[in-house]
Amino acid sequence: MKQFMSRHATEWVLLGLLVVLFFAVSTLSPNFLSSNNIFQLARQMVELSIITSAMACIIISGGIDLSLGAQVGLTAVTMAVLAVNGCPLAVAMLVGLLVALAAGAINGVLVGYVGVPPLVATLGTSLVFAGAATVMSRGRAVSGFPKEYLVFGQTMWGPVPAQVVAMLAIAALTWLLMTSTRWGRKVYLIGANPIAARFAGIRVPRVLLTTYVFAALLAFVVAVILSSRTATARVDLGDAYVLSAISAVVFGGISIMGGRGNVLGAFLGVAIFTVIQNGLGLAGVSVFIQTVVIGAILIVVLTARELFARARALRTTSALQPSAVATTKEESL
Amino acid sequence: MSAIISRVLQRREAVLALVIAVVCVVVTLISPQFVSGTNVVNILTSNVVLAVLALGMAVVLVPAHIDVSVGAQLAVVAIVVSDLVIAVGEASVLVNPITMVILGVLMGAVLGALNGVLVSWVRLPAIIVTLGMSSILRGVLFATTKGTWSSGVPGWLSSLQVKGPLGVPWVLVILAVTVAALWFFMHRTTAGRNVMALGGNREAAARLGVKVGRVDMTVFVIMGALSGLAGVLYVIKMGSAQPGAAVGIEMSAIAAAILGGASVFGGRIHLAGTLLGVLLLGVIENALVLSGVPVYWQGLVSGLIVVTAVTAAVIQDRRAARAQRIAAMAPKEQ
Repeated sequence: MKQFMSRHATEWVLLGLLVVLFFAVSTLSPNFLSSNNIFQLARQMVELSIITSAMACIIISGGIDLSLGAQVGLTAVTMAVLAVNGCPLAVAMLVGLLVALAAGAINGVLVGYVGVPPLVATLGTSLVFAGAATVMSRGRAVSGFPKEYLVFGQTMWGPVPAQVVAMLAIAALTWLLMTSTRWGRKVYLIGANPIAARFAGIRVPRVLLTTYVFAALLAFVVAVILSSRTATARVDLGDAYVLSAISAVVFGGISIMGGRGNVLGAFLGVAIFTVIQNGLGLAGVSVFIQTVVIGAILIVVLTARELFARARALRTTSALQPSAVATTKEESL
Repeated sequence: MSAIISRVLQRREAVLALVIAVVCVVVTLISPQFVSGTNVVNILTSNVVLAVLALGMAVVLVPAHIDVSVGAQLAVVAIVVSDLVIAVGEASVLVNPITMVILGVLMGAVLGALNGVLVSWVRLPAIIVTLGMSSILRGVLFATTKGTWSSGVPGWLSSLQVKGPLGVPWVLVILAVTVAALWFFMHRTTAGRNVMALGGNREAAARLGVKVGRVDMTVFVIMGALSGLAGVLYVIKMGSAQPGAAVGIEMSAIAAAILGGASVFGGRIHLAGTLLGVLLLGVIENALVLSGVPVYWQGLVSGLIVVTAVTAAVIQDRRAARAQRIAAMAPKEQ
């Protein structure tokens, strides 16, 4: 038990923070703890949470994917344009899925096989995906989905929005994939040390390819839920989520250098962001100040975490060997 | 002969110039007004803002950092400067183009120093720091301005976009001075050499006595100062400023710098290449408009160019690295 606690220290801290925030916000506004608002809250975090799961896997692999937002836009626009022009819904969605998988495969090939740095590769492909979506939609919002399509984002099971269940399932699935499968362990090892991974016999390019395709699959799910909930598809549908997802991932204790951290932490990060945003909204704080607060929290928390870690490292290593601090991975990068 | 050609083609600048030339010839055939004097000047002046940011990004990329807050920094400076000149109205001793440029550069440098402290002293990853800073700055801007535009910048400032000495618009003069100053800094000062040293091998530079933290700080202050300058140039170009000014321009700046020969692994800077990278993006944008291609094709075309160019650059780098390894392993003569 003690081992379990210490191994998941970051997650416990985040969970504690979430609980404290919950109580803080509920004293602020009595409406907060109503089941209505809780489900509203959960519904608000669905899209960001799923994108964050995707981003978490990629960041753990040592990469980053700036094109996830554009993938959401491209997939949604593809489905919308097909569906509006009389294509059967199932076919439109299948094509959308294929487009998303192709987009992920392009990223995966560029990063895994060609060796383009992930930041640059996905920056470039995000321009391409957004550009392709703009061409298809002629830069306009596409609406007029058939009614059946709206089930994906607007179904309620009793008081529970269906996509909240999907979100929890995806978070659990991603967590299981990353911690309990060979594939997940390989992704962690590649993120921690790609050269060691190669010498351990892992086909690094292939694993990276599957990681980016998996992320694209989640982008497809977000595209479906988001365009169904809002009944429109636009190029910039997913743009706002990319940077928030990176923030949540790092906030959740995953190292931006890769190889360390836990998908659950990222999920808690999203939950905390959402509670803060919701709380500030209930307190009547403007949306703009909310983004300031989120940005400030990110920087303050990371600064504190870094300084604590450094103080601890100093205490443990100064007795042994002063130079050991300077040769850790972060230092040499 | 072919050896010479392949040597030339290994220079990033040469490849870029060639691509730009090809594009220019093709566009001129489609639409002759492309080569008209006014259009050429227009292409140059309308890309000065991006050029200044891309130059700064090229410097930040040398020690393998990145700055995605440049668009937000630009917007902060642009709003302050445009509000100030609109409130004052007439140019005076205190409020004139020179003081506005100085004000913008100083404000930007302070904003850059904020990033610099977090990267160099706290040692947070630059992408996270600048991401957070970007959302803070944008949020503050939207909250304080409530999303309103400030427009009606007086002519004494906005005319710098078209007027200048010997018919050369002032904005181009400012760009030229910036390039010269950056070139001098990077190649003729110790501080500049230290930046390069950090990009080559951070650990080795630290052991040689380079103050790593100070160098990190320097590049972010330079980037901030250039973002500030870009903010003033933005006001000159647009005659207005709004809290959402230049959203996403950081992506174009990074793309132009990479096109121009910078590497995200650091260690390289090509100021001329960076300018050519900006020019390529600008020429293509202009060419698409003149050829009557609908605006919504622009993103796709420039995206494809960026991806192709970057992929080609990476393959070229890898090949060069492999050739170097093979050469190093070959038995030495004598």
